[in-house]
Amino acid sequence: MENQDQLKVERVGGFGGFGLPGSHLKSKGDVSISELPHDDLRVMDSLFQGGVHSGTPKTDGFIYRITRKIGDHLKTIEVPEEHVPMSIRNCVKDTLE
Amino acid sequence: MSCTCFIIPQDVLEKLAKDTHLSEELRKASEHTARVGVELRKLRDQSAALTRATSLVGVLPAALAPFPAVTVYDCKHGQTTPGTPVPNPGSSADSTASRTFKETTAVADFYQKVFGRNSIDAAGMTMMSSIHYGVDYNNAMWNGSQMIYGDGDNQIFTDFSNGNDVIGHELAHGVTQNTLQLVYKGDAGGLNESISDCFGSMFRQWRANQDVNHADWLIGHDILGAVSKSRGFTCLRNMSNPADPHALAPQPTKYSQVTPTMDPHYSSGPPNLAFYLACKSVGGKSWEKIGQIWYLAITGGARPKMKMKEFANRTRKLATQKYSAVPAIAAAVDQAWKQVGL
Repeated sequence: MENQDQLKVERVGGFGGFGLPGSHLKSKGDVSISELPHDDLRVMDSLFQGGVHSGTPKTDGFIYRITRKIGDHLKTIEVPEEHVPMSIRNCVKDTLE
Repeated sequence: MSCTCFIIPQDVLEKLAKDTHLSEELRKASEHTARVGVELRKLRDQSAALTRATSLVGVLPAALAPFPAVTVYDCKHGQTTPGTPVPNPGSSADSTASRTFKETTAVADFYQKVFGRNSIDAAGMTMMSSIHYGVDYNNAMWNGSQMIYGDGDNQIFTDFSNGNDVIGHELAHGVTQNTLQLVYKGDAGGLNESISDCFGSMFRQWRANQDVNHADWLIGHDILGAVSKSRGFTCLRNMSNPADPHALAPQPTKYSQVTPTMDPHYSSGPPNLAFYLACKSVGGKSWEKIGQIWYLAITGGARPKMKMKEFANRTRKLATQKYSAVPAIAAAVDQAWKQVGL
């Protein structure tokens, strides 16, 4: 991922086990940071700064794995769905592989 | 112990509340969340402490009702719960509402008739469900106090309330929360998921009065969408063959394949298979003997970080104690666990 304007998003878990090794269920997407609503951008910045790298989801709940390029390196956080702004949740698409 | 935690640290909320670059609405929301969060954290910690304390001294809560109330709410494709209450859901023109109501009521009946349990908490707790959650939402879940069902996208999945094993699975998470209190990671997470698949499947079989040979042992068979079916998939998970290539999410079959960071829906494969093998070996109906042992195992005292080996040994011991006159049952349980490497 070379573009610093981009968030790469993967939704994993859930009742169906999206994104598990060997699972045919995938849910991925990306969104331009510059296109995020102002409030959502602030929340996302805070999540990346807040040291939140894992959380306890609702049982069968989704976790969002969000990656952005900061400087020269990639940083990934994992956030339970209820704490992810809708503009980021809405970028993923469920597919069968 | 509830699996819902607060992911935004308190200091982040307080910082957001003072950030003048944010809209006033968001600053106020952050301030309110920060204030409420302090008290909710105390409440959550106290609730967990109370659950642990009462379970240690064997205190049972006073029954709320002899049979639980069943309520259904409509999220109207939003993601705020619980949503708008559906009046008389059992006779609603909305088939999702009526189906959810009827099957949830049936789950309550199942626990009462088969295990002598009054609802999720053994004290008549109201069983609440929210339907039409989100848009094309391919999921169902238990949030610590209620069930939530999405409608599916009609491609990969259909309406998640179409699967009575799904409904049984989600409600079983509530039972686990009130019994073993398993955390949602590691061995305990896999056991948490397996217990939900086992009791969800048992409920489905009980509804159809199926014995172990007529049951399909498939999780999610009734919620597959057109695209999933056209690609030859038959289920989400297969308890009789966790590695089934026709499953949307195949799983490991041996405990040696399980790792500590594995998603619980993946690591539940070996204990699912052990339950299936034990049921098939004993024969008859899954809830009559093996189901009883599994129920005793989950109600035998809270063990939030239980290892799979410990659970296996608990079922072995219970099988011997409860069915001492029929040693073949304990032998079936023992052999089933050995076959998955436990």
